[in-house]
Amino acid sequence: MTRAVLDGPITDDRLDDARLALGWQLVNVLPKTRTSPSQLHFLSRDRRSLVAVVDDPQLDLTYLAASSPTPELLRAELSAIRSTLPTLELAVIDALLGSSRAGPPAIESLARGLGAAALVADESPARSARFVAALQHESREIRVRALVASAYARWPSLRPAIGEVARTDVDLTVRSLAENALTAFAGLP
Amino acid sequence: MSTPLRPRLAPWVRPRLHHFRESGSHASHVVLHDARTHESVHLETRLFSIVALADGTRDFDALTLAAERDGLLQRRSELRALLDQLSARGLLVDGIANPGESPVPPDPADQSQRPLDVLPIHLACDGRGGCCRQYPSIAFSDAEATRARVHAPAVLDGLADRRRVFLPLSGNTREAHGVAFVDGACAYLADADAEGARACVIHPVRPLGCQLYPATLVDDGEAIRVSVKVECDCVARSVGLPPEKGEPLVAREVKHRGDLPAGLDVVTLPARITLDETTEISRAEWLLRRARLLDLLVTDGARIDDVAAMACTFADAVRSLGTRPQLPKSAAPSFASLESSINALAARTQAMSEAAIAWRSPRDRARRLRLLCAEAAARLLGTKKLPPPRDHQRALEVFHLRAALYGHQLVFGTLATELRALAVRVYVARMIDDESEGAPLTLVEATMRIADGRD
Ligand code: SF4
Repeated sequence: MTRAVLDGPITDDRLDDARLALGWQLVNVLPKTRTSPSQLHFLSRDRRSLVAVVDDPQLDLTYLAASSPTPELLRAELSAIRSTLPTLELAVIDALLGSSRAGPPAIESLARGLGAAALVADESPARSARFVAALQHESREIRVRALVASAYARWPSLRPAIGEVARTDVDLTVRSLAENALTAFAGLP
Repeated sequence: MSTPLRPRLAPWVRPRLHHFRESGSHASHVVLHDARTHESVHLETRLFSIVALADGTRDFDALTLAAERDGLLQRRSELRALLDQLSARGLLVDGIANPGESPVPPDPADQSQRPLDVLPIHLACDGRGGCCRQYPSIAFSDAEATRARVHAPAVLDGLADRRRVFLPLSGNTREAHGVAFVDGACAYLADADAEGARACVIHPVRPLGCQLYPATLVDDGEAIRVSVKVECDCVARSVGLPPEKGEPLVAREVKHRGDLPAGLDVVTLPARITLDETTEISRAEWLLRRARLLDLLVTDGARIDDVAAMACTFADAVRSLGTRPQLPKSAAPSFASLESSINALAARTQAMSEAAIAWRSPRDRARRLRLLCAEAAARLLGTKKLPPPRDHQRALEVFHLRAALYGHQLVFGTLATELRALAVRVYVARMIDDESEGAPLTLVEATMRIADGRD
């Protein structure tokens, strides 16, 4: 399963136009439940790849998760998607992670960067450092978003920082969110 | 009104598929007629195919999936907007059934021995298919639709795909179907030959309704009264024909209700008959009065100079109608006394005509009939005078009143109102000079049956 994060709010019409252009067939619609985001499932034109479009309210992002029987098919599918729908490339995501600490637009960018990195980026010391910084951010909203993103990313290097939040955050609700986030790491080395 | 969670076309919606032949090309669309308001919504056939999938079992997501499976889905927002639009017009209901939608259970009493009482007229069909080109609905049962598709598989390629020839007769029903139209004519009506004759290509297996047209059947508890709708030029030309020149309304060997084909729609006369706003009589009393009136129409009919005036006189004396040994003395009504009814008819036919011009083909007979009626009604309003009968139309007008009484056609509403409405239609018909589409009275009657939602 490979993911790509869609850039910006994607309307239903934009998605339907892409569906028609790519020759996808809509094969399932999963409405949002208490535990999972809403999803649209598509079969690719050759009916060999499955693409899920996930509208994730926790990360406030829409992303695609594609699976194909071979890496070549997967690459081809992703490249077709990228030429039809705007996706957040890795360099952009890293830039978002480095957003300045001040002001609401920067906070919003940082939050997007955290979510997108959790979905599509590999663990690296630089990215982990950005996440750790976000977990200690002065903005409660960023700390919460960083906890959610960390639970998605499940990078082992983040576990100590999350434990620290669970013990010391000034906000008791954030501490309990951190406790929850730690459960995502259960079973990891 | 919020859009139903699991939408379904309401049972009062009559979807009709119309094909148009325009200089070699072929176009089609679906008209959704609302039988309650007489308004209509036009849809491209792809969108109707999606609406047909909305059968009360699917929510929006399931509907998009079904549409996608059938290759019909474009933008989901288009579908959402369509459902919202249909819902706002009251054309959708929720779920698979609502109270009152199930068919009326059959009367348990055995009426198979009830005799048929048939109006003595012998019909000679002109074979031009006028009746196959003037109504917005031609009904087929499920079995009749299958027989037709098998008998004439090439018609609209209907054997391969039923939906090219048939849509549900109303709502999402699967039991009865409405045939598609080509330039307003039944899809099974062949093109005209050199003499102008148009054959039914499924004649041996045509539906029961067509076989019996233009007969009406009403069970009044004593007999099945078989009369005729004066809506077809063949009726006009058959008035006074000797028996050997035509066919009776039902085959001679059909003598009792039990001899009628199964599945036939025989209407039951109400137990109480409404004469005017304040007077009702029993069905038995009405049967006595009707019988006397019909006798008088036979004995004195020749002396009726003006049937429209006589119908108004009947309406004025409705409480004593049929209780005296002679017909009341006919007095011509004033224009003012009928003006509001004429106005209403003019407005209805004008609206129908405008709607027909907007989307019906110029080759469409229904469009021409609506235009003729609208123009005649407008002229009548303009002259402010009620026209006298024309000699060559007098016999048909008298026959019309007689057929209506014979078949109880005027007592399903308020008798006085129906008599005046009949008079107004006769006056409008007298304003039509162009008889190329058939006897004017038949055109007005057919058009107003559609206008009043009696089809
Ligand atoms: S089925 Fe035949 S008889 Fe009936 S309307 Fe069509 S063409 Fe006419």
